[in-house]
Amino acid sequence: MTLSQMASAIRNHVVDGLDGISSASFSTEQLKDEILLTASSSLVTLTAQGLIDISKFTQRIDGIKIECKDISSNCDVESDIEVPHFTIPDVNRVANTPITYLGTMDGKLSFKVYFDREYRFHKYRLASSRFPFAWVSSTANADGMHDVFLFNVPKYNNLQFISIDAVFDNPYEIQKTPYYEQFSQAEFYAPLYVQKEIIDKLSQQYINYYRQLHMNPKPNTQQA
Amino acid sequence: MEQRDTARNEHTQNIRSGLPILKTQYGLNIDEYDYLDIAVDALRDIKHFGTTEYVSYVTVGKDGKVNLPCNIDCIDAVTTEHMGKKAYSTRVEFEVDGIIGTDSYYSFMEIIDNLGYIWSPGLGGFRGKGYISYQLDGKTMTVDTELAGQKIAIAYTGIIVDAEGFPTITRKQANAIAAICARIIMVKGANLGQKGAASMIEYYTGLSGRLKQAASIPEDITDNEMDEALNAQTTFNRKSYNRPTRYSR
Repeated sequence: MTLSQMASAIRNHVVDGLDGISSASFSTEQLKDEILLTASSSLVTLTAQGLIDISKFTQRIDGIKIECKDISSNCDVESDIEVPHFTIPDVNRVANTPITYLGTMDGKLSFKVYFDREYRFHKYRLASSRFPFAWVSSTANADGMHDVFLFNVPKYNNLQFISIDAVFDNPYEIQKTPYYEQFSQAEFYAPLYVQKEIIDKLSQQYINYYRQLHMNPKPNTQQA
Repeated sequence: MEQRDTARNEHTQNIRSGLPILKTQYGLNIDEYDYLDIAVDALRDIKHFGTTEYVSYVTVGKDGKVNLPCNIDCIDAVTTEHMGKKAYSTRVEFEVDGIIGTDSYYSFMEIIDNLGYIWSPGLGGFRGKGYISYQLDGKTMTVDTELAGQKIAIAYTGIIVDAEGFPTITRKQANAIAAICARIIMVKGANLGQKGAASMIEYYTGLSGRLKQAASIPEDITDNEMDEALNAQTTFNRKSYNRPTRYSR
């Protein structure tokens, strides 16, 4: 199902479920946002229950252009350290391994990915200290994207493009990247099993909310 | 026995061959670089590398510097050419002069180098007739400039590695490394409070220990080796059989 079809299905469920009780109207745009919110939480819940493996919900972006940038995000206080850099939408940091692959487009060389400042200790690794690694910034930049800095890449000076497989927090944010042409909006990214969970969960929530909100007032008789 | 490891054709697997085993046998995943660190560390404990004992006769440069052979894992002794011919004549001779090794080996010395240390056994490392004091700096050795222009013998243990500089491993070593990784994943999981991980630590600790032991011996013993083992003599260091000169073997 597409995102619009899912929103439509929930709307139909809710309208049918509330038929005769309420004539609430709501926008499908809001429903779409709520589907994405619910999708993220459903995936985490289902993973915790051991029913699915969240790392299988990765999305691939190919040909991300690398440009050099100062490692400091503060323009007033620059570190004078320019490193190869690119940006990605935020990843789902609840997942054990949000980025399953970050490396060359031919898939032959992967980078070790750090999400915190532990990359400082990379140089002390026993066997892989000279291999390249990446640090994903924990906060979004002014464009709402997250900076990724690459280190230990002098050996690969000609590296201009990079490929990434990641579980993104909002899978539709990749449409906002310059690489949007690679992606199709046709199908929702989660499988039917997860789609059904989301539709059921949201329909139930909406019906419950509206029923509670539209409860008919009863006379107060001071009796239980 | 170690000397013939290369001839056994057992060391045919890439160091990363434990990764698919981890996935297929235990259903677990680990970061590639974490795996490499664990594997290199574990292999030093398991031993049974595809090693061969070499001797090289190299000419000392004007500044007392000597380029070490590219397949070196660790140095067993540095001696005069005369002593080398006497003491290490049974070793495989490796031609170094005139050959510049371009391979990058991931050896004990590489690890030391990697960790930012310069390993200096000290000028008084081996004292005795024929032994030559030396200092190591990365893959270069420095000896007394009095030896400039002369040939010296370097007895060393060489190791089979892949193009990336990692040692090639055996099937049993790949299995052992996979079990070691599984144990580490369980310990990490237990520390993070993952359901069931703590109860599996004991199982994987036993399994990895057993596989580690198994991986440290060859798959089969030839009749020649059995003969040598049965003929083991009591020598100055008591019942040594093909006594290893360095711990890396």
